[in-house]
Amino acid sequence: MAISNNFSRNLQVYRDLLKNVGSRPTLLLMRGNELLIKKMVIRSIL
Amino acid sequence: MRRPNLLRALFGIVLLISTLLVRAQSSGVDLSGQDIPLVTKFPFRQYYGGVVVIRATIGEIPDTLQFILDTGSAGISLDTATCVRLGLKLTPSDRIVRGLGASRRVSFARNYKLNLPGLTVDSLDFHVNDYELISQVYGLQIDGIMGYSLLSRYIVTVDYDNEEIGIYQKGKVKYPRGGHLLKPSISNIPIVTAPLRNGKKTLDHRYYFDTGAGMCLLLCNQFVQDSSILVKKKNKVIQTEAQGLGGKMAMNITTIREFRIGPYAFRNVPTYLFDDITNITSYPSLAGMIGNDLLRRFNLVLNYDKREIYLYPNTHYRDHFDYSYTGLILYLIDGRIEVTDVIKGSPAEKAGVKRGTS
Repeated sequence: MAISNNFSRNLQVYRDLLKNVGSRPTLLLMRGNELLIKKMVIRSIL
Repeated sequence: MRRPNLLRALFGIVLLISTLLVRAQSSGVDLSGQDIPLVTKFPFRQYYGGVVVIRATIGEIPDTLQFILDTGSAGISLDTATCVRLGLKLTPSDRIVRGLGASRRVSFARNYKLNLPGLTVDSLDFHVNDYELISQVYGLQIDGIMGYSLLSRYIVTVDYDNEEIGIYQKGKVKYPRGGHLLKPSISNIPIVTAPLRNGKKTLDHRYYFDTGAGMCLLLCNQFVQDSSILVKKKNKVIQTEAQGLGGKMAMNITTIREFRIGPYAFRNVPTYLFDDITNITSYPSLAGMIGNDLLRRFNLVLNYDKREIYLYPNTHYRDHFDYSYTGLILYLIDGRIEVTDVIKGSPAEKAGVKRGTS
């Protein structure tokens, strides 16, 4: 898994990358042996 | 025409003074030079929600273990797998431990020593629990949780600025200037009274003071319903997930307009709403818990002997709250970051992310 071209084994790094409300980070994911790219908007709870 | 400018200048001066005051208070915790002897000081690390992780060893075993410092724990505990790995002798008991979402009968590892840097605490009875899920949430091995069994024996300072724990012998403390003294009731876990404001209502209620909870505020649903504290048209309530003793728990998250601890007011506080199925709040006795994402904004002096908790704002006092929402639940499992859940209707689900992805 990678978020916005950042590869890490540190959960905190990914959680910090997913804090920016309104941004649309790119997720690089692996499902089975398949690589997927998803774009996800970060919403606000406010 | 000159009056608005004067007011603006005055406001600017007041803002500057208040900023300087908060900055002046942020130089750590030091009770040295008082009648209470310093036993030891040692570093800690902060993880998700500012949760404090301390390194220690057990008995004569050299393996370094990682403990969460948790005022919300009524004792001290060890992870089941850690006990097995270390070969600790476990004794079954009838004691029931209650936590978020579950209560269970526990065994004990009795009469072991806990070795902290510069301090050995003896004759401790560790209850044994499964912390695999907590380890996956924080992304590091959690071997145990330190609570009342340690905190009740000493005066403990938690300095979030310098990430340092201080342990002092019990005695009369002269607290540093510029903070606020809470007088909690403590029956193993400190309980403080705090006002909560939302919509047009302000309600005083009691809360656990819980440094082990990696969130700002948790309210039990019974309190939320009985008090009608949420305003339907103004409070966005979103489904999410959190972890407790019972494993994964469906919760809701919203924001509360204002929450105060002593004189310190926080606005638009992210707040989790949970079903208290194990009755840990004994509602209506308590409304919920104040978690470490609020408490880490203060340096703390925990003086259980005198039933006192002193807090003063630190450099994190004005940190922004995390309002983000993706619905993506990430755990670290066997060294890989994995999507363990995707909340229904969330941005993650709409983007096509599925659980089990890594």
